[in-house]
Amino acid sequence: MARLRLTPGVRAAFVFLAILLAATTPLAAQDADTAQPDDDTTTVDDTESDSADLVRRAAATVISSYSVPDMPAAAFLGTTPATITRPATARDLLIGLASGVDEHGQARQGFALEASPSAIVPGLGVSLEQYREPGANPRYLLANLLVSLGAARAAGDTAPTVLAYGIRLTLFDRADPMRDPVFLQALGDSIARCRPKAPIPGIPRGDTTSQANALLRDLLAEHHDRAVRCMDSHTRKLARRYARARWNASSMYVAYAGGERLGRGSFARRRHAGDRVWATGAIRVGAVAQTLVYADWTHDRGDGAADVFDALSYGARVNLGSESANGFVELLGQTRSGTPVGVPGRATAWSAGLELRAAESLWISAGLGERFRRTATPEVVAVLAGVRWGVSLRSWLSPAE
Amino acid sequence: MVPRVGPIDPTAPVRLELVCESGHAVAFALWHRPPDTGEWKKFAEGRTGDGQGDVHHASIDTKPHAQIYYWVAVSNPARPHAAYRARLSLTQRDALVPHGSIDLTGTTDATGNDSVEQWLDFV
Repeated sequence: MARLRLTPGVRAAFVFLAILLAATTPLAAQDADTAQPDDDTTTVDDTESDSADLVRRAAATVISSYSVPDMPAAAFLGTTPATITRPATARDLLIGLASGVDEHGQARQGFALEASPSAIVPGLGVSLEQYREPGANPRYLLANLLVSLGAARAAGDTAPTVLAYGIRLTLFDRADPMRDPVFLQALGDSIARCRPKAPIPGIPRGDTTSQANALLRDLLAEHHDRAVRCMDSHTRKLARRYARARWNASSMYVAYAGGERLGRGSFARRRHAGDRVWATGAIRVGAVAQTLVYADWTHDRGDGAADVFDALSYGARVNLGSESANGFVELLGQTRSGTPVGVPGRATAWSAGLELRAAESLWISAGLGERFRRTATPEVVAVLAGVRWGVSLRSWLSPAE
Repeated sequence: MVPRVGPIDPTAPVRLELVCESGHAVAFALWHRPPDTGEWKKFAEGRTGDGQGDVHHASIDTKPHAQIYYWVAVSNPARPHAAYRARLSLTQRDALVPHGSIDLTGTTDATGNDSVEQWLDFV
């Protein structure tokens, strides 16, 4: 892959470009934090402008990462579950589902479950060779299908519990390391290095006892922890290198979540709460660029007919860069139905940013607009020459860790 | 509970087959302890990418009251916290040994890894 060389000249050009961007950009329309109103007089135009800004901000918040949620049911509920049940067998799945219902037959709030049908349903298993088959591969889709369930209750004793259900599907991902034979060879080598030298000591003969005693269980647990720590260390480095080298790979993901409002937590008093669909795609452009597109449609039925609304958030973004220097330009937008009179049903916003790795785990960034303010939030921020500058410990393009 | 596998036929080798059905890379090692010694001896090891494909094989001449110790590691860094399922099957003369199908299931950690080790007794 071709990379930008961080010569002093390139660094100077980077800084110059950022300052030029600032000098030629009317900031007031994009950056509400730096825009001060001249007076307190409110007009219809001001109201529309404020509302449009709210919609712009909403779009920037909704489109936080150009990725579909890992757990669509939780995203529908707007919660981050403290504990997620992930069954490994069909039996565990049934136990997990049962744990979502209390002794009165009502949904238990805070419940969250995520399952991979191919991993827990006998007969649906997918081997690595099947997973790697090229072309239209239903086994690949099946292996990447995730089903999620969750329940949460809004604040207040009388608020209904909302039960959400969702699915997440990877249509394709050119950065999937498990389809790359070279990566698999390296992965196999890495984890094989962590095998124990010998069995745990003190294993009794079968005719002595058939039950492992507490000491043996502790030794097994210690062996297990040591092996997994070793594997984590090796595979983390391997996966990080792989992801960095393919940061601009093409991919496509979709997800759906729906929900039911349960009056007093009872399934008998359920009412459809709404639906939400996410789709995201990435297209590799040459060696140093990537185009991302994102759409997120929400249908919320609210508490009554007056509260029903639909919202479509969308974004398109171009990333350009390398491991050590990158930038982006994007357009975000949101279209809403059912908005009150005087509030625009549609608004768009653009953002742009640049960042440069100054040292290992130290990034200097500069940017404008909602994206930079909402989601690429650095640890330290300063506004200099009209541009928001930041210093952060990780790149906004770096793979999740 | 330690699996008790068999009864086995001491005149035929026991063949072990390891297959992962959840799209994880695997690595494994197998040790054997005959009934008349206290010493474990490794008789097989393998991993994804060693040319064996998805199904890994090993074979051992053994007797009743011998023991097998297995270590199996699974990894998929692209899918952390994922359920995995692998199966260790023991056969003799192409027939499954009684109680010779051992399911290895669990959930990987945040990096996508897990390992299982255990011993089994032949009867």
